[in-house]
Amino acid sequence: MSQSRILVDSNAYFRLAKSIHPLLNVVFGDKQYCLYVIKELQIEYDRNPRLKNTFSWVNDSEYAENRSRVLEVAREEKAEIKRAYDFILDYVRTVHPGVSKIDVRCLSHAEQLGIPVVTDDEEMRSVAREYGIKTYKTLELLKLMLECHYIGIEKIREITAYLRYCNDMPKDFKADYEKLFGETPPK
Amino acid sequence: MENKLNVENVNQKAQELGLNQTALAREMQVSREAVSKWLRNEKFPRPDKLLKLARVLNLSFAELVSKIPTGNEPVIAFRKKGAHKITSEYINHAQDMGRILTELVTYLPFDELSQPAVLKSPSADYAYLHKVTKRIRKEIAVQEGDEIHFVSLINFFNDLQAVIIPVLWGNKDKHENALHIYLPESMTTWIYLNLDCRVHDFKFWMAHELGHIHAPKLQGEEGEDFAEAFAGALLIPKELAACEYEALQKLTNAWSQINHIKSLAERLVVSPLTVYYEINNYAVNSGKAKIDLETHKEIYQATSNFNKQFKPVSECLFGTKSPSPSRYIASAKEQFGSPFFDILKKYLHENRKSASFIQSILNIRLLDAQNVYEELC
Repeated sequence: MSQSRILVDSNAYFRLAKSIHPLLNVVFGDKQYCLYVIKELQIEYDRNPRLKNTFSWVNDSEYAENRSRVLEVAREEKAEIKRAYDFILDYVRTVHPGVSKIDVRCLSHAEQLGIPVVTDDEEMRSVAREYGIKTYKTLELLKLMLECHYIGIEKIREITAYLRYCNDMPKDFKADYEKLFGETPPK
Repeated sequence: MENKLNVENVNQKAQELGLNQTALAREMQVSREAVSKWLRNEKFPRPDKLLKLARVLNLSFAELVSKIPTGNEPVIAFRKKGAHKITSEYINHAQDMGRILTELVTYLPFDELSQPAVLKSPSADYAYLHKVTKRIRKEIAVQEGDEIHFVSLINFFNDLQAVIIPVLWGNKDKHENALHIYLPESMTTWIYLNLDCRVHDFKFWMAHELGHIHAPKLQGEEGEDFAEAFAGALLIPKELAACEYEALQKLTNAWSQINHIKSLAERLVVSPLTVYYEINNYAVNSGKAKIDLETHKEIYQATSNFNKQFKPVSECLFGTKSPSPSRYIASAKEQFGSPFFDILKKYLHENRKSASFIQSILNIRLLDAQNVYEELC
């Protein structure tokens, strides 16, 4: 059975990669789910930060190595991804200018390859809808991992508490958590 | 920009592929009527259909879609540096940043009912510019031979409601040390200033941007020429240039002239090249012979060596090459009186935006954006 690939956008990666390690390139569940990032994200992290970096873990070898096995794309698909990128970028410029270019690249890969994207960004989700791209919120991905017995509810509570602590909660976070996990999110 | 289907290209390509409207509609899985409306430019295809149409006809975005200017696009200004060509990719990127800034306009703490005054008929004429800059220097009580301090320039930006966005874009030697974005719809001005610029150049960049703010109607080459001449005139008044011209004439060789220029540059905190150009501008406009320090590139070499003695603005401000995100963010308000990060913070909170938004609006590395995001949220 072939893998069910899922792309993770830059923010979802950042929210999860430290708590669930290795996050990428690990198959889980009967449907052989496997999370990937695009090559451009790794390139972006390879650029030295200009400010004092409080997230040194990102470029620790274990995380960099985990990201280095990026989503593979056949040569003929590259041309179509480029075409999708040009169209999605123009749409984003006109309607959702806040979506970053790296996220447009992520969406163009997902569009061409027909794979879902994990993103909490409302604008990105809206763009994805226009192009028929399936999306998961971070919490929905965690629910999927829970159902596949890949992680337990304790891990989800730990991640949730951390995001709350960092005040990095996506829109509708509380309501989504309650709906998906049937409990109030931990403080 | 408004998008229109390039009907000519569509028809030509469809014909090549042997697709009439009915066949095209079938390929596209839409009604024939929908295709007919697209081809009459009565309706523009939805985003997914547009991409599908491009794939069916094997057309690129540029071949399939014509961009029609609407007049409300962000107006971008770059300072020209030599013969360096600014790529269309860079301009597009700057316009993208302008579109993102539009999202912050409603958060600006400015008076909604009035606009600061700008110049009535700006021109790059020497006499006119010195008349204008003389008045500005008088307003901030700076004598002809004195330095205009950074704080005076910053106050001008704020009085004119131009939002300064300090950025750390690294050492740049072309046009990337400042980016001026004017949003016509909201009539707001946003200025990115690269703090990694050398301190003596930084003042000229600021004065140049101030020129743009005083003359928003001058755009393109005309706007750049004006801003460049305005900066020179503001920093080196005609009277000072005249006095220094006479002083240079009395010196017997090029190196003593250069040393004289360097000491003036150091006192005014501007580049020796700026001093040299303004003295010669005075000479040309007064019918006098120019001072030649270019034959053997002496002035360029001297300026280059001079600049190496001084740190970039960022190091002067932060005392380190890698400032903490909190110090960087605080500097916008404390050093530049800019509301930028306050309004960005409010916007991020209200709209639940992520670090990638910060990456786009500041044009910085993702990891830096994560650090700024962490600080703001």
